[in-house]
Amino acid sequence: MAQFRVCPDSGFYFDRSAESLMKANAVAGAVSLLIAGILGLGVILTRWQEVHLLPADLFYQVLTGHGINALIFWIIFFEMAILYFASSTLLRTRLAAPRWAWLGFALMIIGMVMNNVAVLQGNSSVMMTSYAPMQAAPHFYLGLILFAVGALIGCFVFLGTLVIARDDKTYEGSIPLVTFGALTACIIAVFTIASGAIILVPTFLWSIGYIGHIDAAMYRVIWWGLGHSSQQINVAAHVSVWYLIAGVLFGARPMSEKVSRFAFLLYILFLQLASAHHILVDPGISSEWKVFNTSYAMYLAVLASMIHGLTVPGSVEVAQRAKGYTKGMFEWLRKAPWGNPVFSGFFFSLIIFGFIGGITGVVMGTEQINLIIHNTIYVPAHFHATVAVGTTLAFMALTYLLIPVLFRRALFLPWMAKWQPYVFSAGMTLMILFMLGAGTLGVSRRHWDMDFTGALLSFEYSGTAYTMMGVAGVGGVLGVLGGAMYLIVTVGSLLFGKKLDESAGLFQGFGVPLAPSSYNVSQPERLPMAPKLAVEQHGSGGMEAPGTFVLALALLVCFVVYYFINWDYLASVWPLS
Amino acid sequence: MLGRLWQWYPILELEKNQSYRLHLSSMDWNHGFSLQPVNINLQIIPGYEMVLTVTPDQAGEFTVVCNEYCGIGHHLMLGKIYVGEN
Ligand code: HEM
Ligand SMILES: [Cu+2]
Ligand SMILES: [Cu+2]
Repeated sequence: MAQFRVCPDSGFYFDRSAESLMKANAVAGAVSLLIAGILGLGVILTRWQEVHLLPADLFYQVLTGHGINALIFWIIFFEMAILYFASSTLLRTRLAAPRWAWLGFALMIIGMVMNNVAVLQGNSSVMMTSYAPMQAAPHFYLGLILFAVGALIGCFVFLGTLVIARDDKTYEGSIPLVTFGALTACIIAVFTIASGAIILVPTFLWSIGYIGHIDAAMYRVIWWGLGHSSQQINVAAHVSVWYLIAGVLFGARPMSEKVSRFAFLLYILFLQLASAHHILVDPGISSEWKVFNTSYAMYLAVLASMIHGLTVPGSVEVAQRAKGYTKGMFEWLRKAPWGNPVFSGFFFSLIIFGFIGGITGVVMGTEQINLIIHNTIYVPAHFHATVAVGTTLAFMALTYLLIPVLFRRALFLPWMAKWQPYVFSAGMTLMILFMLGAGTLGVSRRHWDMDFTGALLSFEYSGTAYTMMGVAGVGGVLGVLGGAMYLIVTVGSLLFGKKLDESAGLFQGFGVPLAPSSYNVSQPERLPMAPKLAVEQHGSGGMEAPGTFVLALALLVCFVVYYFINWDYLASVWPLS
Repeated sequence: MLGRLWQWYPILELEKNQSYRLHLSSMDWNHGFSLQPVNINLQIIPGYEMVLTVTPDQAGEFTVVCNEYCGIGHHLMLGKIYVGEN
């Protein structure tokens, strides 16, 4: 039975069940993003002290929901779609155990709904970290557990699909780089979910009264084993998306496949340990352990991201130069398709992740500096650069690529799509930069009222801190607008976009397969091995991409300057040991 | 100094350029010790005691803001450290 279709525009092969699963997961992700965005608006309008929209209880409730829906549900649903794409579509193979994959999806949906209901009911405003001994309703934890189990099943389906592809020899040589990147993400995910189970299952049992006590410090250590490595899943996933987009848009190939693969491996080997920086200022943890984890592990982790951060634009530059855009340092970049949201989204994701996310990440990982920013609004500012822009925007760019290919619909309101990455990046960058500033002035995160109204004692932050939170507020509103534009374009495309396949109707947008006649390939052609690149053969590298080199130097300078400013600031703190 | 829902206890009076051993702990949930405006931020975990040596090098009134979410009264949780000239 023929179960594949080949996309006439892109040449991608889609296995019928994998295709449906990708659609369903992507749509579920978009719904989560919608919830997260609406709640995010509530959060930022409350933190903007002049507006101070929500009352305290609602604020903490909304913030809990915002964090979970954005960071966990949106990202992981979308990652499931990526896993199926990177295995089945890129390797041109059927999906292993589609029934299991649907079971996993169902569990994730049930878990997501259950958790959201718990938060909505109001007794579970414990933040996504849900630090014991603060306790949420049992179904808050149960929802997360079910969601995690569902995602775990998805990971195994991905691994099974790789095995099938290898046995059926659907590709020559080794798996493509994008699939390799997805594989690293998947391996880290399996590890993460395991530590998630170690901590969430006892916490669940404790919430229903089976277990009497959960050690608060232990909880934090294990939670951050999960919490931070889960961020490496996102980094590995969005880096894979970068490679994919660079390949599709420019035919770009990494300057050295080996180096890029090695950099992915570094994530598995070392990034796990960087989780330590969350507990740098915790008591009860030895200093040597903190130093080991933060210095070695951190730097290797950063090294890995640096390698990708250079190879990806470098490969684009090489590809563009080969097309004749060779004038000066930056003609290749000026002549890039800035009006195509796939490109602009991809490029802003790269730049904001690299510059803001990378620099603030290293700064936070330094034990001494961590002292001045731990739990301030600096911290959410940092991860909005990494995950709310780096990962989210990369996924948004990928969506624009996939709507015609996977959903067989033309983009709805293309002008809106064209501006969306600009509005979203501008808004988020504004919010991030000013929240970084406010954090340095001591404004704390997860805090309803920087006026401390009603407290017995009183304290006033400086006027600058208020101004900064205000500007951040404006940026956040703009960011929400950019998010809304994304959803209008994507949902609009599924509903009203021009059909590129006659049978791409309403339900086909949500996972129903196209008409049977569309699936007319029973066995895709074997994926040929990519020819070796000239750069790889001659082993030159380096100066093939002078523009990228200049960008890298700029990053380095920003980093060094900023790092020293922070040390200088630290010198004004009371001496303590 | 102890953190509990939702206050820091007691109010401390210190002297400038003297070294003190500060014991920090929590009686209930996680709290965050955030000394303003000098901006020293530490995690306070129930069941654990953090001991550190501090030497205030400025005189004046300092505020301890709780910067780990600790429930509905989180924003009410302030403490004071007064540092006098010696
Ligand atoms: C679209 C516009 C967005 C706005 C305006 C926004 C705003 C904010 C603000 C102001 C905070 C900090 C609140 C505080 O600590 O007091 C926050 C927290 C958070 N945001 Fe966003 N955000 C947005 C999008 C996103 C996205 C796309 C993600 C993830 C993919 C995300 C993930 C998070 C997480 C995980 C937290 C931490 C929640 C916690 O402390 O438990 N946000 N957001
Ligand atoms: Cu507190
Ligand atoms: Cu608190």
